[in-house]
Amino acid sequence: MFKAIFCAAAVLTLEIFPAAAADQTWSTFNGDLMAQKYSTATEITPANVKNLKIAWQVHTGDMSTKAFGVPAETYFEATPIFVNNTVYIGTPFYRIYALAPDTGKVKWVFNPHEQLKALTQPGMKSRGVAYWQADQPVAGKPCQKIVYIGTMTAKLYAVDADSGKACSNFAKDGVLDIDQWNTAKGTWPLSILQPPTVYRNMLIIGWGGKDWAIGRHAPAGNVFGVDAQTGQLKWTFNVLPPEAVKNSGTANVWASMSVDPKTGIVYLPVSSPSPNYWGGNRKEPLPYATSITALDAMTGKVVWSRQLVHHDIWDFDNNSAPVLVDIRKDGKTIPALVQSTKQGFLFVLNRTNGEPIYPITERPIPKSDIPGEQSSPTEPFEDIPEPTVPAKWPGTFWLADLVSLGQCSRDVKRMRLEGRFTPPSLQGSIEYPGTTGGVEWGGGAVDPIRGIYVVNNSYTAQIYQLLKRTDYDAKTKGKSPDEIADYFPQTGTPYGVYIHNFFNWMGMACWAPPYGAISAYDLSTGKQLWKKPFGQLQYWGFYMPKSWGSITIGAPVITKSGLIFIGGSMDSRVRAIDMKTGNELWKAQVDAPSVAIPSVYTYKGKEYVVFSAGGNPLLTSRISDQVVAFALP
Amino acid sequence: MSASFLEAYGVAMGNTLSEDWMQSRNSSTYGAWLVIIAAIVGFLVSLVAYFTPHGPIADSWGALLVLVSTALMLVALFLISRVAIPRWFFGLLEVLIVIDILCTGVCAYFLEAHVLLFFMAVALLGCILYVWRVSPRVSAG
Repeated sequence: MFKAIFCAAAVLTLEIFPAAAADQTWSTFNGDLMAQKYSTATEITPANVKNLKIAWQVHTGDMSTKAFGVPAETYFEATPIFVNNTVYIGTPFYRIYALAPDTGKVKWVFNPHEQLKALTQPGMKSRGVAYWQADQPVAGKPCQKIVYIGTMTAKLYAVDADSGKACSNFAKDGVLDIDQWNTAKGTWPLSILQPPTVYRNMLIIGWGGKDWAIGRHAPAGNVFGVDAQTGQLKWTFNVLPPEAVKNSGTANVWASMSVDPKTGIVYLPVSSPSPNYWGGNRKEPLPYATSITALDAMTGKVVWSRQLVHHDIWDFDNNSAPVLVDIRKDGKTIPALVQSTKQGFLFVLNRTNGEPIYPITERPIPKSDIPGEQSSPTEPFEDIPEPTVPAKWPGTFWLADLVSLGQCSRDVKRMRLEGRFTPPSLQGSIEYPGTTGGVEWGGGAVDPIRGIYVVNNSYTAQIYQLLKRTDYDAKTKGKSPDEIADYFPQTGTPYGVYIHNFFNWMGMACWAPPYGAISAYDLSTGKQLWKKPFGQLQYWGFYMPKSWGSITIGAPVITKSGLIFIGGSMDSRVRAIDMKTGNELWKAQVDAPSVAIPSVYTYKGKEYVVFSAGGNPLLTSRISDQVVAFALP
Repeated sequence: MSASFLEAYGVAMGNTLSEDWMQSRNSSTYGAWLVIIAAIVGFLVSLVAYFTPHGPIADSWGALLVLVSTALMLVALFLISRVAIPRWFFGLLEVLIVIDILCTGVCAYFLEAHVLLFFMAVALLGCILYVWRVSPRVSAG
């Protein structure tokens, strides 16, 4: 009798609390293949989130401020992934840390002893690691579970997930040289800063470069499908037509991708072609450039593609993985994707065919007056959902203008400022938003049950000024790299380019606040549910008013209990926000701005929220190597 | 601030200015000591804020500013309480102390250094108490 009651109770317990039986993983950069950044964890709720405390923290030691012989600063932008009962994280020195999920105790560290030079980026950068495991892992056999990390030198390392030892069967002694497929060797390496996308036994690999530097003969932005166990190349997707490669390049996929596991389609956010800001040498149609392109993940064949910027001369790369979600609209369930963009648009497409779910209209844009340039007469616009950045210029910030004795307003009068897609010009064009966004590479998150999409965005204004080659050479000749950090040569073209934030001499933004926000949208109607200033700016230690918000990098994650967790603010704080209202419910200080996507997982029934607090040297001098996990006491 | 503040220290009591300040503690002890204690605590809080590794305002110009401003406040308080100084300088220091308290308080507000802000409010309260307690005697004298 007792045994029967016990068994019944056990069965009932398992029925009621099935989630407690299995840990909830965060297995990819975006949480899952669909890039939803959503966790079904429910232990931490809006009611108890205020009680969160640090559960553990680790300092990887991989951080540089250009001191101690390391020549470049670090950009630690890695999502800590949780899978195989382990938290894995990649560092800007391209090391992999394997950590115990409940204590942060280091299980092993893999060190590829990579060269620490900023070959293609302003500093050393990593967005972390990817994970693969065999369908039926054989016990005792190495490399049945593999962690991958890429490097700026175009190497992809495969490491046994349990031991941290290199997988010798993968490529050559566990290292795949992606640069062997570089179409323009000697320009720059195909830097693997974003971890590969893993689908079944396939690694889908894009890369990053410096497409602002070279105008002609830059590497073509090809994407590679590689066997996850052997490193053997299975397919290549040529983003650019062969004839275009002679005069252009890139249109690469440097951001994360998403995969629909039901259909096996991988969605690529394709970036702009090179050179970024003058397209006189690439007037032919480049249909995949600055597009969302859907490929069969196993073959690399194109399923559909939709260009989101025609003849891109603004560096409006598609910069984040499309978020895949099924939305209920007009009584139907539609397989959709949401693509956030640098220009602040949120394109909602049917992910089976690329057709818009909410209208996309082609509208005329200002014409370029640069000799040799031929800007597109129209560009795609969307109104629903409401763009994260309004089309209207917010006006000159009176305080910045006052402090600069009218410099800001004089610049506004002097330069081209004609709304979205104002073309780069010789006198300088004010872009609002500029290439820094809008929405950055983290993209948005979605609650697939409630059908609510959440995204953080910046409001930035930048000045794009093309310089005739002779002027460019005169301005940059003999200057140190730091002095000409905002000048980009676009070699092989008649123009270099000077791009900088629209600041006054004191470094104050010349455009009126706010500078950052977070919004929620009902995807079934496209309506904005709420929008709030997000984060706080901090200059010299002083916090600016909350209503200004902060320039924001990174992304939100959502939990089933109705919480949004997000770093992303320049004040080195991480936050929890109420999904219903957008109100801040909790915040905590971390070592540096957490410009990475946090991860949420459960281990032995306990929920953890983990942030990488690495900072961003372009925005703040405060950088760190901290990985910090929060949990309820 | 004040003629009455100045008079309260020097003219009315008929002593050296620094002695006046000390003696004036007899009548407005609480106010004076509040200012001193608040300045000491403010300095220590600023010191900790500036040097705490990875603290919210660690190693920032703002934290350095309040560290210097509270240090200057202490120096000024020491001068007017312990050193024989000319009357005009005494009055100037009093004015500067109040300005220092206000500016440090504003900085503390924007630094979100709540403890420092609290103690600057305490210091200001000390000043007000001081003036309030001394003034009636000046009038009577």
